[in-house]
Parts: sequence; structure tokens; C-alpha cells
Amino acid sequence: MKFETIIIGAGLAGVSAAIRLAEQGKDVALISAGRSAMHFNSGSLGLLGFDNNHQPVSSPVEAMESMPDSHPYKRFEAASLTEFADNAADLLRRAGVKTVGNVRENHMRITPLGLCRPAWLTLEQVVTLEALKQLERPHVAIVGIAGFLDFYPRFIAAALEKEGFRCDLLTVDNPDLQRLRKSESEMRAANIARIMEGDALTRFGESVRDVSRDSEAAALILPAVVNFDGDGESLHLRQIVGRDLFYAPTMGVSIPGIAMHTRLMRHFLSLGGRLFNGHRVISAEFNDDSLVAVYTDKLDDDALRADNFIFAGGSFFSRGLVATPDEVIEPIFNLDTLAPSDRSKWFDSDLFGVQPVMNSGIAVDHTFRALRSGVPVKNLYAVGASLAGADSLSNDSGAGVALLTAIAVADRIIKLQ
Amino acid sequence: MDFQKENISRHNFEQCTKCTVCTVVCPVTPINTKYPGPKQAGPDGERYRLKNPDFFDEAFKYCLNCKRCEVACPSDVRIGDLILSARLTYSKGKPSLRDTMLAETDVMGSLATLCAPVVNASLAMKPVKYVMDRTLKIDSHRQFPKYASTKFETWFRRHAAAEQSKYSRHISYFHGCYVNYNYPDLGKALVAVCNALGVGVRLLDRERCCGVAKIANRLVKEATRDAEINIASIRKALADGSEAVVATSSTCCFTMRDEYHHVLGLDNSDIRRSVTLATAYISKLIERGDVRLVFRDDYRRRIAYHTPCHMERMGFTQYSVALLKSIPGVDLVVLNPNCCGIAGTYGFKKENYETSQAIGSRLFTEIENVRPDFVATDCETCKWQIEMSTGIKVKNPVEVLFEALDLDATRKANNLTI
Repeated sequence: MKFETIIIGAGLAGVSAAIRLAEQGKDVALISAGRSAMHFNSGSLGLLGFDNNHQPVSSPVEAMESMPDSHPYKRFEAASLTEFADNAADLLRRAGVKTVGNVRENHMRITPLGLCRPAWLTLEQVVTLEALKQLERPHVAIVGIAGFLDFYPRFIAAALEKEGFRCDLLTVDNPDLQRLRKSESEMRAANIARIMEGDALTRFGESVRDVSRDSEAAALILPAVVNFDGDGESLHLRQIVGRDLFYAPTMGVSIPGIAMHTRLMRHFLSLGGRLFNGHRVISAEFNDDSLVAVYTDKLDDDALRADNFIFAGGSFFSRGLVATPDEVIEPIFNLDTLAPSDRSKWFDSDLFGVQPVMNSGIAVDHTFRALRSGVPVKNLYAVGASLAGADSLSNDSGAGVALLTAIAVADRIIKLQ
Repeated sequence: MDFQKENISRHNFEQCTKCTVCTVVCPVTPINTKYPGPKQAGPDGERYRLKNPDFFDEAFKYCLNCKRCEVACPSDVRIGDLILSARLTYSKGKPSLRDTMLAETDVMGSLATLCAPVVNASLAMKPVKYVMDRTLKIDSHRQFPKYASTKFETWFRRHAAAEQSKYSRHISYFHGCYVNYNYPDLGKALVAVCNALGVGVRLLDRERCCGVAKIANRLVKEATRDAEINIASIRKALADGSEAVVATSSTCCFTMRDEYHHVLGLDNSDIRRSVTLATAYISKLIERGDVRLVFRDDYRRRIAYHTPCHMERMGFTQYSVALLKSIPGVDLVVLNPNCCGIAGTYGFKKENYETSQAIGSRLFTEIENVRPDFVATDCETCKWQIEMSTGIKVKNPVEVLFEALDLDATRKANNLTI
């Protein structure tokens, strides 16, 4: 099969590049080897949450200058970074992922473990400190779900009390939730969200309303266990509950992240994009310095050909990168990687310290073309978490790197065609 | 010794990182709380079962074997295979009479086609349905697919076999039980389309049911016997010059390509690549420039394509989608990938009927909203389920091709003088 562009990897970077190209009427195929890290996303996206001294960043645009030259952001001109970041938020919005926030000033998200962390964009309705500060009085009620092990109101309260909020702790239960609890270990956010539609959603809203009746809180904070498929559910719930509602992210698989994945993917498909779902690219065919075709584990000897390829295979979790006992490799194309040469320098003995190995990844030229034996492959670009020089974990920059590099590469391909 | 390579248990279960994405996509877990879910039933439980089979849970029977967990798994764990293998290895008690009847598609089909009108009329009668519901626990809401009075094989030998030798290239058609006993028209459409493209069609010397229903109902010995016969017949067909063995059912194709090896432990490595789906085979002919298709000018249809679970797992979705999209008058909507809920014989069982319909409800609503002229899909049991639940007609993509092609012009375009 032949396409204009083939994108390998359907996480945030891959699907964003795919959407950008498909929106311009390009013929795009997206190859997805299993679900992506978006499924664990809290509903907030980071562009640069912490600098290299691990200090929280208030303005990503300003802090960018202090990043080392090896960081992917340094391939953007300072002025264009702001534009790319705004383009990214617009792309998400067109896919139905509506966010608040901007690149000039970070806001504070609230983690399931009860910390306030800087964020670039946050899904509308997901709780931020700034939104709560606009309430008419600093008093919220945090509503937990009986038997739900991935959300602890006490943790959220710990974060908010430090900021001067009064927090009521409530627990909601009803027969629908009791039924789900029969399978205790499977009472996860995704399974609760799956029953939260129609009558069950209404009953949940009524239970929340009843349990919070005596609270004088200005707003309720619920775990993010609704709003799986569309916007309607959360609006409906707000009506029933009859007061301001915010959702706090839960641990484990996360509904805001899944909603983001679902909407981006649907947007891509609605643009006529072609999805190879559950295919792992296992080999490739090169002609001199160009990539000709890739082969997947599902299509036998049927080649997938394209004029341009984008590698968005992610980092170690999704096996875009593989760490062998003595080197970090990119297993499909054998692209050049940058990593500390000596394994003893990969790790810091402090588990919570910065781990140098997280900076390793694919080496690219100034236009994100991947290098192979020191030479850029003419039509193969690398984007997102597989790029060298970005430690998304310590900088909280994963979403920013994914979106900005994806859009930059997609725009370049459009321009060159 | 390379420990990382040598130390891998069956179905890749050590690769599980406990990320729970399988549970997110499982159609059963949120609906039937008796089911422990794919992570628990699959890789989590396998660790314990390897030490002590008592950790097996008969509730694994609620698994649809849809394999959507495997498509979603970022770590290539064969979760569905783990659950199915556990059922085949540890489940106690013999399969019931009902399960055996539902699984023995060849036996039941052969008997039913002998007196199809009587069988069809009886199976549609309320008292019969009531008795089946009460005694056999086959849900009375189900409509049985009608049996044909002439088997596809019989029709083929009488009306089509002779002229096939005129073609210079050949495939062997694995028609499956559904085409043979219930819906010979699909087989006839495949023969007509292949012939118009200059490809002769043969049947296998001996074709048995692919075995999917027997595997699901734990009739391992019977499934293995059928699979061995099929593998031998496929080998012979390929040796005799067929360039591929082509199925029109995504599940038959998937079972022969993957379940024979993964679940039954048979060696099908030499034939696996030659077993394919009709739309994949035709797509490749078109891409190689071997054939040309000429479509009718007056064909205008709005079609919704439903991706069957096993089609998704097999990875062949884009072949059918591309082929349907290439028809000039077709307005194609690709439906969101949701399970229809029937999962072969699963939905016929009384204990599963409600789960089955609840799982399918998202798909049914979407189809009703799209308002297509008809739905296209590559799986026959999805077809029954969607037709029963939405009242909208469902066709196989090969039937759509048959309707949309100008067969005479296509023959001419392929320089056929036969």
C-alpha cells in the first residue's frame, strides 16, 4: 500500500502530526502498536514545568533560553516557539480537546498524590489552582467514591489546604457503584466511566447532590470518572448537582487522557486518515539515504510505502527506544542514538534524582531528519519522546516536545511538497 | 544463553507492565461484573496458575475472545490467548450438549441443509424457540441464520467447477460453514468477482469448519482434528498451484492464521502467509497492477463499515476499507471500532444474551445515526447481530464489489476472452 506520509506511532506526537497533515488534505497512514502513554495523562500538558536545576518554571518561553543546546526546543527560533505552542493548542481545540493555559505563563495542576505542579495546558473542567482561586470563597468539597482505590480526597485536600482552601471530604455511593465494586480490583476509572451514561449518570449526579447537600462549599471536586466519550456527560452532571464542578485526575489509567486520545483519533479518522491499529513495524527498506517502505508484523510481505515517514515511536515504554545491557538502540531502522557511552553514567543513585539515561534518544539534524550512520535519512523524521536531548520526566516537557516537534515536521513536509 | 530471548513463557505474558490498558478496552468488564477482566484473567492470573491451577476461575468463560485487549496492549502480550488457553487447559467438566451443538457447525449444517425449509420454519417458531430457551439455554431472542437448501459446495461442483480450469491463475476458496450452509450467494459473488479479474477459483479437497466455535466451546480434540485436515488440504492446494487460499470470513481467516498456532499449538508456519482474506488478496492484485476493476456508473450507496474484532486483530481492516473507498459511487463511513457483542456462539447462550446486547449498543446507536443504505463487514456473526439489533441490512465487502462492478467491462479490461 502506498501513502504520501506514513507515521509510525500513534501517541500524542504521532497523532498530532497525522492530524496536521490530514487537515491539509494529505494522504496519511498512522501505524499504532498498542495504546499510548496518553492513557495515563492527567488532563494537563507540560511544555516546560521544571528547568534543568529542577526549579519550577513560571514562564516556559523565558525559561527556554536556559535549556542546553542539545534540547529539541533549541531547534526552534525563540519567536517561533510561542507560535508553535499556540498552534498546538489550536490543533487540540479543532479535535475537540478544549484547554485552558498558554505558553507565556504556566498554571498549577493538582496531582492525584496532592501536589501542585506547573502546567502549560489543562483540559477544561479539569481542576487547576487558578480556577479554584476564582471561586467566590475558598471552600471546596472533595467527593470520593466508595471503594475506588485510585482517588483519595485527603491527598487533594492536603494540596489545597496549603493554599488556604477549606476542604470538606465526602464519599458517594449508590447501587450502580456497588455493582461495579463486586469486581473490586477492576473498579478503575475507565470502568466507572463506562457506566456513567444515561440513567446511571443521572443517578450518580443525584447521589453526589444528596451527599453534598449540607456542604457550603463553593464548588465540588470529583474524581475524573465521567466524560469518556463526549462533552455531554459532564454538563449534564453539573446541571443535576447544581453547583460548580471540577474533575481531579485519578491514578492509573486516566479518563482525561483517554478522552484526549479518543478525540484526537476520531478527528484524524474523520479527516479520512488511515489507521493501522495494533501493527508493530518490524523492518524497513532503504534505498541509499531514503526510506522506501516499512513492514509490519501483521501484513506479511506487504510493504507500506510513502514519500515521507515520521517516526513517533516513543521512548522506552512503547519500545521506540530499547536499552540493551550496554547501549540505547532504536530497534526498527537502527538510527543513530545519543546516550552516555558508559552504562555506569546512565543512572543517578538517587532514584528521584535526574537520570541521565532519560536524555538519550534518536539523533536528528536541524530539521528533525533522523541520522543513520551519521547521515540524515532524506525522508525520515523523528519527533516526540524518542528524540535525544529531552528528559521529559525531569523537565515535565513531554507533551510540549511531542506537539511542537510533530507540528514542525508536518509543516515542513507540507512546505516541501 | 541469551536469557532475555530464551526465558519467555507462552503468549508473552512476562512483558506485561500492569498498565491496565486492556481493561480500558475490554467490552465485557464494565457490563458483566462476574468477569474478572482481561488483566486479572490474563497475565496477572497466569503467574498464579503456573504455580497452582486452582487459581483458574470458571468466570473466564465470559471472555468474548474478541482480542481487543491484544490490539490495545502496548507490550505485545497475547492477553486473549492467555485467557483462552487457560480455559482450554484448566476448565473442568465437559462442554454441554448445547455448547457442542452450537460448535458443531459442520454436523448441524449438513443435517439442516437436507431439509432446510422445515428447519428454517421450525427455528423461527415461537414454541421451538421457547423450548430451546428452556431446555438448551439458547436465548429465544436470537434469530437463527436461515439454512440454504443447496450447499455452496454442491452448487460449485454443479455450476462453476468446470469452467475454472480455463483461467491461467487460481486461488482456493475457504468458504467456511456460513457460506456453505447458510449463504451460498456470498460464495457465488466471490467466484464471479475473481473470474472477472481473470482468477479461477478452486475448492479445497477437504474443508472442515475452521474450528473457531469448537475452540470457544473447549472442544479441543475436535478442533485440532479439523485444523489438521484444513492445514493438509491447504498445503495440497498450494502445491497444486493455487497462489493463495482465500476466505471471505475474517474469523475463519484469523483462526487459521493465528489461533491454529497460538491456541492449538499446531505448526502452520509454512502456509500462514498464503491464507488470506478476499479483500486483502484483491487489493494486492490491484496494487501490483495485475488486474483492473471497472465499476458501474449508476452505483450510489452510503455504506457504514464495521470492523469485526478478529479483523482488527488480524490487521487487515485497511484492505476492506481501501477497496470499498475505491468504488466511485460509495460514500463510506468507517464506524468506530466497537465490538458488536455476539462473538460467534457466545451471544446465542442465554446467560450471555443481555451482556451481548449491552456490549453492542454503542455500535447499534452509531449505525442508526449514520443512516447508511447498508452496513458492510467481513464477519458473518457480526452480520447476524447487527441485522437483528438494528434492522439494517449487512453485506460482505465482496458482495458490495459484486454489486458495484460492471463484470463484463471488468472482464474486457482484464483482456479475458474466456
